[in-house]
Amino acid sequence: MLPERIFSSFQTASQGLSVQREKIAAATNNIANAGTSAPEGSGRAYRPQSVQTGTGPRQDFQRLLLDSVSTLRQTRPEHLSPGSASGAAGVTRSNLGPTAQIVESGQFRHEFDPDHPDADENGMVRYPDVDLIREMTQLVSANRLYEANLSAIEAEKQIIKRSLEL
Amino acid sequence: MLLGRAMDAMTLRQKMTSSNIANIDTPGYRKLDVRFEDELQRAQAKGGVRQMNAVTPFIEETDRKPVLEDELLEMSDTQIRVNVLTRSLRHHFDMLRIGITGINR
Repeated sequence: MLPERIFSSFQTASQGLSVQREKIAAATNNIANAGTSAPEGSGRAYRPQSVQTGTGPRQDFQRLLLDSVSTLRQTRPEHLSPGSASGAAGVTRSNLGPTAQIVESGQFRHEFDPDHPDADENGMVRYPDVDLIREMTQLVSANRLYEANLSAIEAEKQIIKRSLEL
Repeated sequence: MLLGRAMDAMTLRQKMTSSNIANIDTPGYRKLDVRFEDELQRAQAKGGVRQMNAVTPFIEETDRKPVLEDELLEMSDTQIRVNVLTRSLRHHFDMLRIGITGINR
């Protein structure tokens, strides 16, 4: 989490970056553990991970608008009424970035391999149900979205730089 | 002067950001932060301009691990702030120069 003083578009982009990084990490984990077998009932079975994304705490539009309109009043309390300096405490920053959460699925695929040490009485070995094509697609799309977030940051930087040249 | 103090804070923050990036994989390392702007605001709310002149930047160890993207974003934020500061310093010195040389007799 970035400190409050940094531009809000940077904060949003930073959350986007961390979500995409989380996705890449999950895909890497899944690919690395695609061949990790575990017998039925053992606690150390690898479960395929996927990243569930969502928006941050949703605020209603009117409050968001009022907050952003009244920030000037709230950051400089003495502009309106001298002495009441406690106005800045109630400011909530509007947070537009996504949030991510890792969820594990409990799906397994079974392969017939009676000589395997992890095989059950029917000769079946249990592997996590990792779809390699799906993981690779996730990896590529997360990579591209990461780059998109970086371009958003770059664009914001350019805007600020240009406005300083006025 | 306050602008010089702010410049010091930015230099210090840049040093801390490089330290955070250099130690990103060091076990047990916690992100170092330079506190200046919020202290300035607090001083201004408490005692106005006279208190603001006494604010100095200081280093604070947070309880979080450094994150690479966040450090790089903070670096560009520092860069922007230094740009703003140099611009206002230049303006200040230009005004002084006009005050010294600009009178036609």
